[in-house]
Amino acid sequence: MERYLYFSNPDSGAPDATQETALYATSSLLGVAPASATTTSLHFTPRDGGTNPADIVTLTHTSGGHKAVFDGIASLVNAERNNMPFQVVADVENSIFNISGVTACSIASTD
Amino acid sequence: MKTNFLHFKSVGSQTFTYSSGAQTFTINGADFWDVAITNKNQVTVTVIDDTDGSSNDIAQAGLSLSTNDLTIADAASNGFDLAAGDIVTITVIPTEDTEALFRADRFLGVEANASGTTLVASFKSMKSVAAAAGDDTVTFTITDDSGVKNVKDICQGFLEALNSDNGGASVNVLDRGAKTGILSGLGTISKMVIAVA
Repeated sequence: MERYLYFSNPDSGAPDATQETALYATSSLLGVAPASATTTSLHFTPRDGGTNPADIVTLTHTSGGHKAVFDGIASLVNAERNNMPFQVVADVENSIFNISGVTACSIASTD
Repeated sequence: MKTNFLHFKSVGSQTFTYSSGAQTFTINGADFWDVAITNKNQVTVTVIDDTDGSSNDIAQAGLSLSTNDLTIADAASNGFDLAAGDIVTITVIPTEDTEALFRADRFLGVEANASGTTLVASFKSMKSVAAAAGDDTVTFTITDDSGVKNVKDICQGFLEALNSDNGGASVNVLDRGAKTGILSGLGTISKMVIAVA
């Protein structure tokens, strides 16, 4: 069964613009790397069917907390905790962050 | 089916104990830095005051870099007035070239090059799925042992990492700073450079 990673970061209320929510198949996750001391970028195969550049979800976290994000993403991709196909990574509106230290997310896609 | 994720982290931190004189510290030594520091904006500097034990982050405006010499300005110029015994820690700011998490199923292979002291592990790009996209690489500097033992040890380490059963968590392939990971102690690795294309 394919699993999916969910991200949501509406500016207020319901999502009413692009790049405020996103759902990616775990198989679309290409890799993960730090973007700064307090952010980590998750690179995904573009949702628009293109090939370049990758969509990027940026997670904001405590300074130097990249390893916790790496471990958390690996765990969510593999549904280590609950074996559910729908894995919430960051749901800002409901203050749900399923990776320790993560406090915000932003989504950048080409579509 | 679990997907293994391979974690690599390069070394990039050095600590000095100040004694006297110029507030300048020579960095980029091979033992402490995998990533060459060419701009002061690549690092953070923290001073532990020996007098009161306080931790003081130095603003970028209080730093200057000349080749391998990083200088902390005095307090009046956004820096810090060092005293004997103060501990200065210089740490690379994490980027995609200092640490990365690669999918095992995007691993392409490991290959030595003509130098005899370099080994390159390649992954499909994490930034693009275009056919022409360059690969992401992790390049290891090793000792030339006039044979293949070092290379083979690392290759076998990769095999172990790629197929390890880690319960779904990330696999620590090599953390050069912490000296941990599957490749730690293998192949006389003296440098590791991560390049996300």
